[in-house]
Amino acid sequence: MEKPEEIIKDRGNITVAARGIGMRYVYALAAIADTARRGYREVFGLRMPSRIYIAAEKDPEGPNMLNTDGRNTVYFSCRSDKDLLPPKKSGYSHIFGFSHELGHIAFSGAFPAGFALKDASADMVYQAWADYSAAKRIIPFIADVYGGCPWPNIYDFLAEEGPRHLSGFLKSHASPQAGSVLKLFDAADKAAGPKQVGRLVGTFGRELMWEPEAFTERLKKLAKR
Amino acid sequence: MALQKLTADTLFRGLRMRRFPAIDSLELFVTHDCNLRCRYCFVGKKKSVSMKFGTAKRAVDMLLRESRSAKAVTIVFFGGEPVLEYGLIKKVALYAEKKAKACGKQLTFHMTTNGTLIDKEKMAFFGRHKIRLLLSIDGDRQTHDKNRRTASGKGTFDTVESNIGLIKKHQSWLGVRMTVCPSETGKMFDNFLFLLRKGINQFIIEPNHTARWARRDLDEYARQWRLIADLYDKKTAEKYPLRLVYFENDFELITKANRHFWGCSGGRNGVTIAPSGDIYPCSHFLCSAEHKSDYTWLLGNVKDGISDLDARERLNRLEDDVRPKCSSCRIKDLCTGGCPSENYDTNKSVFEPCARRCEFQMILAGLLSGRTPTGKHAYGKTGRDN
Repeated sequence: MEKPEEIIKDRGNITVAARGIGMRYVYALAAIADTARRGYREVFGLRMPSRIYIAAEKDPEGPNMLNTDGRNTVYFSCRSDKDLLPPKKSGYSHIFGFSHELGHIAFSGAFPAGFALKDASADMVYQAWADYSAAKRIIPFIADVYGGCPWPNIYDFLAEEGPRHLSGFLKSHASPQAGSVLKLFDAADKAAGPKQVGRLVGTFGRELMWEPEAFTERLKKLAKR
Repeated sequence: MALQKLTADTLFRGLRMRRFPAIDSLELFVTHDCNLRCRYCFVGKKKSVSMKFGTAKRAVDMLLRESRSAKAVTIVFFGGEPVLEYGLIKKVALYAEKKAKACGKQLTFHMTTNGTLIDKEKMAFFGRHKIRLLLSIDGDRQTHDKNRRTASGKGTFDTVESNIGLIKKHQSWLGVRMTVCPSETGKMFDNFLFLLRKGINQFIIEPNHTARWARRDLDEYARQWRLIADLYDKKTAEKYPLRLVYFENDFELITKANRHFWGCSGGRNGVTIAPSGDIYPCSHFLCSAEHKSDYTWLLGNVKDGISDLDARERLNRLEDDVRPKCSSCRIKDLCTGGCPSENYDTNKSVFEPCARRCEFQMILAGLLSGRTPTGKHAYGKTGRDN
């Protein structure tokens, strides 16, 4: 079997290493991540790693996977070109997905390698933050910067993956607890604005490793402002 | 360009590593040396090669990194006799505790020891830092001293026995590894009972796989296990603090839980680190590689992490079709294909089971079939907490 082409691309503060994925997707990944990184800094005032790495691969025998080490690297793997199509055709929300992973990095980029959150409730907060920040603030930020869709197969990403996507999450969340944390972030954003939410995350985010309840209490206070 | 290539290689390696389970268990093979010369020891020739603290630190860092978001991680001190490296163990324990705490992880220590070198000071440290000992003891004096002797040929039973009280003072729940040789099979139940009366709570009873087992020895081995099972049922019904993991679930439950699972945790969520820093799936693979200079299963070195991802991938395969000899076996989900290292040693394939082990597994399967697992909840929380 022929070895798939390897591409390494730097753009701004992003490095993408890709295997078997077309150049136009590599450019798009770099552009989305670079803009999302800027969004977390400008909208939420959060510190971001000076360089974020993306490892992306198309491997028919591998898993469909998108995750992060939570510090500075995002891992993406898909099985076929079909998986790269817009959400309605592939089932994957690419721009939201990468923004969500960068949201994790924004939260925990300064945590030690291999950090662990205290428990399932801490993980719920960590996930809710990434959902809220990506859908409510970062997707609109990317739309503002680009004016159009940065994904090679153009789709209405603001409608499909933006604030409306978050409203969908809020209505349909499988776990009521997770839904309530997501609502808290949304309420805090409405009450105090994203800068204050970002400040809370940047200053007290580490509490998720030892006392997530304390962090949730702070979030509740912010939402009641 | 070279730097870009290096970055890309690191990223692709990281991406491939993400396909494997997180590593949450680390065995530190702190020394090849031992003060005993047990006849059945798989470690082989003893040599004074020990791990340096820098290597151990790198290994701990690797564990914390590769455990990803796992909340709980385990470090096992192994050897040779790990207590010979008490100074190193102390430093590693303090370092690992500090690092694990900073990462928000719960850390558990275990150590397999022959129990001859411990004293009050060491036990106090092990107790304070919750380093849980697994004691190697085979039974009464006659059984134990037959195989477990010092380099000068002196039996070690008296020393080990006298230390049981000291260990129990700091570690109320004590487990032992009891190795059974063919010549001592007839005393297996008596030895179990003997150790039970000494206050032992948990038993790992394993046959000496390197010995020759005649049919009559195997039959006796099965008979002795039945006696142990009966006593186990009686004791656990009385809520006596005792664990024998084989009996905690019935055949159906075990095989259901293991369905589509092959092998063991070695190379999956656990690795062993040699004194040199080399990474192996487990200590059996390590020792075998060093005896035979066959480095097929060398996964990498702590300096740069796991680099042979092809080898790790082979150990992580679960499909039935890679192990045709097992696929039609009725107990394949009980033994999960045997010990991969032993399979490789005997058949040059990790997927082809060692016939000798199959016989022991059949005995265990026979014992489990039709059993009602009375001990499942009998030990309560005690066993787990300790």
